[in-house]
Amino acid sequence: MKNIDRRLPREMTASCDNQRTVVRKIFLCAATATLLHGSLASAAWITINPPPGAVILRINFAGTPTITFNVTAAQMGNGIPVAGTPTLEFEMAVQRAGPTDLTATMTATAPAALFSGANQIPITDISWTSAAIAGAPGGTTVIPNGSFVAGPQTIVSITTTAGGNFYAGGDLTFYFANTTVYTQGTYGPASVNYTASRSP
Amino acid sequence: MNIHRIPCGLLLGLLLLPALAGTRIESLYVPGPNLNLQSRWLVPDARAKRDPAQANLFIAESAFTEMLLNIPAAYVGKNVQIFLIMPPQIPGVSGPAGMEVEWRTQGVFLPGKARPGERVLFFQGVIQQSPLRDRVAYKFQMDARYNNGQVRFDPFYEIEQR
Repeated sequence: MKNIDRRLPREMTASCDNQRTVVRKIFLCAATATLLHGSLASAAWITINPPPGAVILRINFAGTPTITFNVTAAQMGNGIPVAGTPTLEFEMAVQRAGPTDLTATMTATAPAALFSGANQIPITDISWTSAAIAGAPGGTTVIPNGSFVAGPQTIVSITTTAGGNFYAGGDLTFYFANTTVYTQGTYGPASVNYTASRSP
Repeated sequence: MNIHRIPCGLLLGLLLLPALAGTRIESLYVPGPNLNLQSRWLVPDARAKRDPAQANLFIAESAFTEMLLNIPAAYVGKNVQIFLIMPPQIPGVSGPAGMEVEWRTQGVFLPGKARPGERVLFFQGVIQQSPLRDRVAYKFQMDARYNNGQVRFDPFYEIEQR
């Protein structure tokens, strides 16, 4: 250490301990600089933020579809459900990128009844059956069969289990229960609103 | 005799590897030094009937951004090749199929595309001066099925004399 002390400028030789500290600090700095240089060789970082999750609701019909049930006098109240037309394809997609699973829910909100003047048919008389969408390589959770209730109701709910798109859907055929004899007339239209939401 | 030759061949291979790797060089963006990109779904109208290979993609694109490669003095004036190397393991990406980057340049660097783990020619020619600079625009295509969060990585560059 004496040899080292002699080579140092006077202002840096206030004490031997300090010099040792200085010398060591210089070595440490040099070592740090080397490490920094090594990391600078790959310093241009690229960060890509995944897109936010999304939910999509689609009905394969241009505009607002109207489902029509034609019930003849001979059929009225015979207990055989009457299919409405057209059949509609419903599809909900939830898109997940990133680490957090998402739950998407399709909800329908229906009025209490279909009216014809003062006469009415309860909305619970309308039901649907659902068939898997054909040719869907993305895989689809089939919407379960069901019937309307007054107010909001869950039609289907799905939760992602990994990144990517998850789907729920079905080709829905609607039916009028036809278990009651109602006063002749044209009932409706009644509007049913479908919404899709996700959480979080 | 054959038994003896096999270990010799392995040893030569091991000795050659460092030479093939090239010298790692510094890169940075200006005014950077880093790129932070927000991605978007490639197909906003996702449908189960679509090919999942398309429906699950999201992309992030950068504008043309100036990039500098600091060339060690020993390579200035030399005919060299520079390679872009994508790290094989990239945080946020669970496999090479989950990410592809494609880039365009303005003539100094070579355009190309790469997936994680790949080594792609990025420049070849005589280095006139350091740093070597060009403007680069990236398009990252990611498959959400292989994504588990923010993607962050540092592509690095290696230089070797031709």
